[in-house]
Amino acid sequence: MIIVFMFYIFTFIPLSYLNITRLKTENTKQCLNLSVKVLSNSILPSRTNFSELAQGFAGEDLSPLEVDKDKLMREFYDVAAKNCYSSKDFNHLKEKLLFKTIVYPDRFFIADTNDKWSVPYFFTYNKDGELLYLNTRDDTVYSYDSAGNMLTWSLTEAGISRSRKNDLIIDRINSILSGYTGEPGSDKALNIKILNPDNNDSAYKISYSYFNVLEGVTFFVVYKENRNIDVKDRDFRFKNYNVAGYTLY
Amino acid sequence: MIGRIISTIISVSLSVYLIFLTIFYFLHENIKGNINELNYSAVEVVSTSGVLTGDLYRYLSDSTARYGNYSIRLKLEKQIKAGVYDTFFDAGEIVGRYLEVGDRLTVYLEDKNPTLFGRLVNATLLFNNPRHVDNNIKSIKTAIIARSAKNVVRGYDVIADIEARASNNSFSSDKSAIFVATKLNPSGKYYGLTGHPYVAATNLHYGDSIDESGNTGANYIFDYGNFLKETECYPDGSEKLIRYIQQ
Repeated sequence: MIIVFMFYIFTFIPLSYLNITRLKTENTKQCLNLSVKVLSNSILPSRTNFSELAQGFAGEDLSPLEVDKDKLMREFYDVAAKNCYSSKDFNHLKEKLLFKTIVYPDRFFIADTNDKWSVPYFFTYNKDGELLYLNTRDDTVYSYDSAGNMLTWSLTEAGISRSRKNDLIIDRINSILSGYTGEPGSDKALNIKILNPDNNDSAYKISYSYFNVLEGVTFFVVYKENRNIDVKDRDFRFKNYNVAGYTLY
Repeated sequence: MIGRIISTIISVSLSVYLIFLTIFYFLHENIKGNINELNYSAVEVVSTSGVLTGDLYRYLSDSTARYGNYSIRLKLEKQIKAGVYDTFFDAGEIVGRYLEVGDRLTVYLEDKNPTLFGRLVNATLLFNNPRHVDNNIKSIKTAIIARSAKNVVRGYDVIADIEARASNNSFSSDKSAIFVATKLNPSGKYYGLTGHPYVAATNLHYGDSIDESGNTGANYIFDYGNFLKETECYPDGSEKLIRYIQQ
């Protein structure tokens, strides 16, 4: 009887723990997926984009959308709180959100765990000592001369292929975000698999097809929860990483 | 001897109880996960399509019925302006309604009966009646509408369409006409030329009769009212009738 009990305890408890972890992970993912959609309700109505629409501009002729960041945060937390079963769950979720990011065609902003938005990070590339500004909307590149005048070139003139440009932008995003995802005392950080739409390698597409921030305006959040359990000299790590985002075209 | 028999009976009963408890626990947890997933799938579809269709509601109802006797409760928060919402709870008013960006839909599923695990936990065991634990399966999901339903236009679009067709002579006896049904007049009013299969009397302009004026006119089109647009075509594909039905 004692053996049966021991067997029962040593199988039931870890299994139920794994099951609860699985359900919590799924809930977190679902909650984030539903919450990031608030982006579509957080567009600043006073920006030029709307007046351009009224003037008949469409597609690539339009200026990019501008997001009301304060409203975005308010709505995001509001929907997230409604999808959590208790305030404790919500506070836990909020605590584990490493950052929130808005990616525009030419720059991106990051809000840290205190919801303080960063300065804009432009998609820049240093080529032969000259700082080039890239964007995802079209194949133009610009820079500033010593007098502060803007100089515009095509990608071809700048000697950059479109695929290379996308890689540069993705690297730029990941390099900045790594400062927010690194663990204290460790040089490890998360690398987000962002799709380069111009990379036609099939293996790459399968591996990277889940996340694309290079089209339109994207809002995404990164959730990270690591739990360590020490059993004697063994270290069990339960990792729950989630990246959830929504793009407006 | 009698002690050993009693001990065996208790051991076997306890073992059986624990085995059933374990099996039913994992069944309970799996059902919980599936119900959560069903709920999530439904609100996700509504979030991106802008409408909770009757088919989707039936799918949700039929799918949950496989797991138990579930009640489905809906809550729609219709955004009037930023931060101000009209709230609806009646499924009849929510299902099939075309929603707009910023509206919020909450779907709450609850099993009216406990699962086998719930019954076992609350069962009397060895003359000990435990306090009732509410572990009926529940799931709640809230989605913000990220895309407005297609074919929903504002009242000013309807008025503009009528006037545009009147000014560029698109109304004709063998071509298009417009039908507008408002909340006050569900039987609607036609705009077009006599001779059109649906138009009894020529009526080319909006706003030139008493029933179209003021907020109380039965055919008054509110600028910011939502109208579902439907198009009926001739066999050659050209427009026969455009229906605008206020939502």
